[in-house]
Amino acid sequence: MTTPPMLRQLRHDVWATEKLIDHCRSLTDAQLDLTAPGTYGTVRRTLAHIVGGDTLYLALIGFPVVDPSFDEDRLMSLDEISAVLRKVRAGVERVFAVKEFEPDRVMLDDRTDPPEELEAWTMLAQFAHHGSDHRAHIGTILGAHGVKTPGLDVWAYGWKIGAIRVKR
Amino acid sequence: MDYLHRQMRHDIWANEKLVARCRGLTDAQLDLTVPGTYGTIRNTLAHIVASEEGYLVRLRGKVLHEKPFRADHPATLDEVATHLGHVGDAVEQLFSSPPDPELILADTPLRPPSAPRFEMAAWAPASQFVHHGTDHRTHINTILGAHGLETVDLQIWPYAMELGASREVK
Repeated sequence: MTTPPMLRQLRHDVWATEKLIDHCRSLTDAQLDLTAPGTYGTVRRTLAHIVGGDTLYLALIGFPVVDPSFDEDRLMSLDEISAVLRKVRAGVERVFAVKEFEPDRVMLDDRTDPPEELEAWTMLAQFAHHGSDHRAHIGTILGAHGVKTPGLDVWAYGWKIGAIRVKR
Repeated sequence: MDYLHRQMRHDIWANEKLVARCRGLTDAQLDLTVPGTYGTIRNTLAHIVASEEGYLVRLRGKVLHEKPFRADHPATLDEVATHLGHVGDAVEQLFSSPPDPELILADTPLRPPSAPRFEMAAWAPASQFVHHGTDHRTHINTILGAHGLETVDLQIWPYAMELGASREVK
């Protein structure tokens, strides 16, 4: 059975966030609280927001991975963010392990007034978009402050898992 | 519909929205940048579209047009929009007969014959297409925001609303 491209993309997203968190472990607390104009906020808050978004999108398609009281706005340590991301990674695998994911299934989002109906694929597409968007913010903050940034694109991931290789 | 096709269509929609937004900027504003991003707004737009043409050449195994578009000069928005049209056409042609995402692609025909060659599963350049666009559009929104200029909401949500894949419950 082939791996669905949607799952490939979400695995890349989780890998990139994990790699970024690992990179951030070498930063000081003061560096984690750096930001830059035009970005979301500090490095630490942006990381928490990325995984907070991940948990929301999974919950909206019926795969909650954290307690409903989870609050991404609480100041979290990298270990706490990393623990949530591990749950996200397991949740992503569960979405595709249960049965074939139905991308056109209509889901209800009743957090808004009036509520909205959304096709399921939009939430997983948003999952990947949201991660790339906010990791770019962190890359900008680090770069603007002269801190090295890790390679997080699909090329780096493809090399890592052997999907890209030198032709023999 | 194929998931990657949907995502590439969102990418093209987002690029078009961003180009339309940038038409309201002056030449001096198009040349703005901030530290930590790719470069100026103009160069970043050209880089996004030139790269997307490159990913599609790799996926289709043939060039889109005779002379590859390179982001090696200060491109006009009309030039970027023209090549964005090529990207849109190539995406639709690609998915008129959806590619096997696990198919191992020989290297891009644009690589010089003497250079080392790479092979990769088709899903890799397709996913990179999507990731790369988001990454660099975020740079442009960061530049706009940092200079007090209006940014554009390029998430999946507004796209889904336009498409009818998301709607208010009556």
